[in-house]
Amino acid sequence: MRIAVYSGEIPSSTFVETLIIGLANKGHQLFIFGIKKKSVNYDNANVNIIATPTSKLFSFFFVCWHWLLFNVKNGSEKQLLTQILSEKNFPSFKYKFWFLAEVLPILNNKPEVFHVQWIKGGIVWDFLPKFGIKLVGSFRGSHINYTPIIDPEYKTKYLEAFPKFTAFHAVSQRIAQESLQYGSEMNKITVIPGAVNPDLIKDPINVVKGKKLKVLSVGRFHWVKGYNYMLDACKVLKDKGIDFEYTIVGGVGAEELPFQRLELGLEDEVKFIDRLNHTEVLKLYKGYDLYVLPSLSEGIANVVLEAMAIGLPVISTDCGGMSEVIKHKVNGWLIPFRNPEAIVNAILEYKEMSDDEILFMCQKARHTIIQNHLIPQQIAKFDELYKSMA
Amino acid sequence: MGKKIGLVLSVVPGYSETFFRNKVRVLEEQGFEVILFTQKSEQSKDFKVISAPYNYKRRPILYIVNFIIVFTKLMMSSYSRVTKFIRTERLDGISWKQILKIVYFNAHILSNSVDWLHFGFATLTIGRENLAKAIGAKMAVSFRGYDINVYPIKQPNCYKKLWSKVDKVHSISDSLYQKALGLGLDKSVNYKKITPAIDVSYFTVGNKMPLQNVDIEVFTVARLTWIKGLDFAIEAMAILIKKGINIKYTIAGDGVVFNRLRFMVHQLGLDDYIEFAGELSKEEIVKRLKSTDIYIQPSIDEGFCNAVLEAQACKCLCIASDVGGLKENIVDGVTGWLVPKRSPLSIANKIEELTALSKEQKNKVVQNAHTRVKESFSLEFQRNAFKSFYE
Repeated sequence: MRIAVYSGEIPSSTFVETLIIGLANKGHQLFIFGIKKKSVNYDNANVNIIATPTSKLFSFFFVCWHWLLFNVKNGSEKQLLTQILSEKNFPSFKYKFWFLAEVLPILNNKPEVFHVQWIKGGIVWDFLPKFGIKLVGSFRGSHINYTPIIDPEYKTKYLEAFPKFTAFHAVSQRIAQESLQYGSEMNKITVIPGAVNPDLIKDPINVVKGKKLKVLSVGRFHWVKGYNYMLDACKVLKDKGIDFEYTIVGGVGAEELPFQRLELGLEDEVKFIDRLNHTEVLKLYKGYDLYVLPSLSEGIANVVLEAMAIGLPVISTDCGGMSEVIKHKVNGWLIPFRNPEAIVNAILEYKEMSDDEILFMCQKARHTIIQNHLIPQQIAKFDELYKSMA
Repeated sequence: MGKKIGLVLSVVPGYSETFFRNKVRVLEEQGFEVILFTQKSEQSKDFKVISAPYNYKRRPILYIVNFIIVFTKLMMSSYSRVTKFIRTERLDGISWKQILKIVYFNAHILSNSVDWLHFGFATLTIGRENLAKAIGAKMAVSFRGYDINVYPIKQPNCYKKLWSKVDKVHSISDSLYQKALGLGLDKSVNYKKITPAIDVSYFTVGNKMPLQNVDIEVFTVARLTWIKGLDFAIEAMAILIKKGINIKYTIAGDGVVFNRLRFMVHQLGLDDYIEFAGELSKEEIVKRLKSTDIYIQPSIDEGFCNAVLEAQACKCLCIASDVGGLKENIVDGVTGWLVPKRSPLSIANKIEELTALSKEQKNKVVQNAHTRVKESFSLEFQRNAFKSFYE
């Protein structure tokens, strides 16, 4: 099949790249539209990159060429495109031009399926089905969980655009449910959860509790990650005399967390590590005893899936689809969000457990990953989804 | 002839920034000549403004051309000052490239003579500590909350050079000054506290008795940034509402943590009780202050906080965190109440406590507050303080 995986950026996030390569390996023709941020080599003849130039001069020739091609190939659709352009009501020619620079190569290459990875920006493509292109939108997290709450204008936009989509992909049951209020329909949604690389489950799980408890969180600094609640929990742990170290990887932002760390007197216990690349992060997990996800909202946190695959016990807040992965006190801890006390209690419970009990829990967690969250299974499900649309 | 004061700011103060506006007015009345040195090029009817050369960020050729023009002009008009500046910078171990950059962006200051070069914020002095001396002026600096409370956390030694060069410091609260001493400011450096002030008559309300209705109106005016601690106030409302207390909480202001607070309100199920009013006009704020029962300032840290002065003048029952300048702003139990920071429960308990106060008790506090603001934080009071600063 001819499939476009669209995120607007080339290359895109790790999971989008995984999807592209996985589908290409299944023999699909992949089309990647958008703006090139870095040079990228897929080493696969099935992947076609069609990057929109950013310079004014090149983009002018680019649009001219694609306009010509469009007239030759799809002359009959010209009227439809003119209609779409007038409906879009661009404030100036500049906007129209850049829209054409993106849309013409898509229409000229005519993928059967156009899959937008980020729904917030993705709704601008809601006219593609008129050109016979099947449109899929992904519900991954924030764009459904809080964008329309914070900005009610998006609720209106979603309600208008969602009925025009052919199908949706949701990373969890919870987010699929959540999306219904914005005009999606359950029978259009396929739930395919996040997944991790099978290499992560190769090594045997090692549980050796050291004297000092080493706790890890990974993820960019953003209020939705709830790190401030975790620091409050750290303060309680310190007051209880527990020997521990907590590390946040992912750039902590300039002010708020360093300020809170200083205020709570946690400079010796809490470490901030700047952004690391994915391979470096994966190596890092092994040096820690416990993973904490203090988030307020998530689709499904891939970092948690990785920790579970590698064999790190996980304490996660019960947000988004996390309850579809973690069963409380079976394969990890599922605790209320905005609640430092709950984090502390879970950590204390961990400390009470024997090495064998922890190992048992980690094995259960790895089993969950093996059953539902490995990349080959995930790609197979996407493959199935697209084929069902053909 | 009066003294000439050069006030260094990033932009021309807006109409709401009473502090600098009042200051310039007072100084001009006293016969001082005041020049504003701003980074952004701006025209102003109210002030004499001299702006820095244009910052050609992504246009290197224009930058170089303009640099040559600015530099040549500067060398012709102020040769000795520039060479003096470069000499001191070299002694401080600054690279040539850095020095040329500083010279370019401060050409507007280097080419003027003033008696005092007064930096409106401490962060504005970074990299410009030798300017005053080069132009033969004394150097003064004002501390604001962000300068002292937040910025040094990411740049621990950012003021090291400033401390050794500054002639006089101005702080809006004793708390900031104490913290500056902790950051390495020497006690021997001349210091004066001039607190913010408000136009009390504008905020005067006639007969007002807060907390007479079943519905309790609570209000906060703040930029929506993390340091204002609004998360804790919202959580406090959740506690009270759970107890069945009727609360209507309004937050006025805009800023980067809006999304976070808006989502929090939603997640805690408070959509019907908490309103985000956005940025309000001065008139609208006064109107709301005059009618609201309780004003809360849940900040994690604060330089001084004008909004709390305005709320006290408007006879609101005021609750603030016991941090920084707020401890000087409110006299605990007399003009309002101080509660521990980061503590929703303390805020909630305090609000509940206030509902039990008698009319006399409430009246006494709001009267105390109004009187104290009038006596110690009026524009008149501030003027007198400004007069003597450059003596």
